[in-house]
Amino acid sequence: MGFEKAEFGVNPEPRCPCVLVLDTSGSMGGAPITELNAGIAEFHRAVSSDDLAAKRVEIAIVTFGDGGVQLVQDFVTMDCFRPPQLTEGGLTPMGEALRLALSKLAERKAAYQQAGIDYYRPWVFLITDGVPTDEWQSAASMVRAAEAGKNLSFFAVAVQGADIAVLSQIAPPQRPPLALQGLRFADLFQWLSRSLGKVSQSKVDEQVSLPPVGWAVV
Amino acid sequence: MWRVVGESVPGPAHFRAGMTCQDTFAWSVMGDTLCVAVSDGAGSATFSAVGSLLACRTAIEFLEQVEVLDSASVTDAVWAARRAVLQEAQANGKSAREFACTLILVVANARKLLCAHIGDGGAVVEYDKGEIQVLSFPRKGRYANETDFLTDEEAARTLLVTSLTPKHAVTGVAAFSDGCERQCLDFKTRSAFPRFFAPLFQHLRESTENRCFDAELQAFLEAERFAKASDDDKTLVLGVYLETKASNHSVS
Repeated sequence: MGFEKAEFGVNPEPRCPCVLVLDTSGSMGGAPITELNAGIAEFHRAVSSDDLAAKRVEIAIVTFGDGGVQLVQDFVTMDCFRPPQLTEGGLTPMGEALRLALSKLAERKAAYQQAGIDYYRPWVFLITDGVPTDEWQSAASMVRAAEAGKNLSFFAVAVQGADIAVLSQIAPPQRPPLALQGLRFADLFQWLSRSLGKVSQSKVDEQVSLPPVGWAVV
Repeated sequence: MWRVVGESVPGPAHFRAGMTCQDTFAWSVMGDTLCVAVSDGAGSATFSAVGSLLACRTAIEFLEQVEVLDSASVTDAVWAARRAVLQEAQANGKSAREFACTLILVVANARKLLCAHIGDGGAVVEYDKGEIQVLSFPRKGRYANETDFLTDEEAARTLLVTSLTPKHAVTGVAAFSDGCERQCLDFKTRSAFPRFFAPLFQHLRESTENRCFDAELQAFLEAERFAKASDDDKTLVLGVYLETKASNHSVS
């Protein structure tokens, strides 16, 4: 990082941050990882098509699976984002991934505050098809405490094969995990782009009603 | 010693119209003193790129010759620059208007801060690696598309000279053309944005190697997001004072 650290000087728009915490373990191989990558690219395209959302919606991507836990993408607004090609492999260290996501989010909020940049309540968006292979309970209590303190909004999406019982203990009671219908990643990311797009056009602190969830099993 | 980097990049509108960059800058370090000149050639004037180049060079060369750097000598440097531009116009049988350009001159060392300024753009100073203060604010004409120029007949009336005794250690100086104004200055409070300048000064100061930062600054100014923020040419010159020695000279 060099002169581009002046990003808040160049783009002082309020930020709408979202961390994608994505399962890239071995079981995501084949169609799921392909659909996931396509979904992220579609998300980027959809948000970028709106000039204001492109300057306000920021995502960071944490993956768990291939290569352990990785920060694949640090926070970046959509106008500067280049979608990655994720690959699958390895175990499912979900606990560590969530802890990393929360700590990167805390860092980012501190950076907003230091630069005097307004921000919307951050989203943490977990997508998994597996069972955590590491200690996840501490991450769960951190997520729940952050939710209770209105420090973030947490969403858990269960792809077929996910341990709904575990996800139910991580996700806040008022927003239980949603089960993805088949491989409807495209619909999921379209919903995410519409939702974040809507949030990013609202006033900071305003309550926003999200579009209906058409991709989940009810 | 001063570590300095400056770049001028053409604005998207100028680029589309097949025009080259009409902004120019020049700087010179003499001992512990940094002199910077930034000039924005008027988009509507055919030879404004020549005007801005001549204005910057002449002003810096003038300052390199004077014995005492004070309000009088920076004012004289502006008039020397003006004379050079008008003579060039006359020698080519053109009107001064066709060479129209702005001029910002900054002189900075530990004991004094001087600025002579005609037109838009501006300059800031950084104290103690912290506070950023405006040294000269853009002076706009009555209307948004009206700018004062060095070549105007009433230049003596629009010239703004600032002379300050630094209240703290001078750790950074920046001068910029109007293409960067919106990122640099808060027009509501007439102050500078630390969120813009602080990371730039910090990066320049904290880089361990004494390398060339030109390409990096150029990439920063040309990055899509910044470039699109204004249709105008963009010039930014940054200087940070480091506690060592050396001297340098550059004219763009």
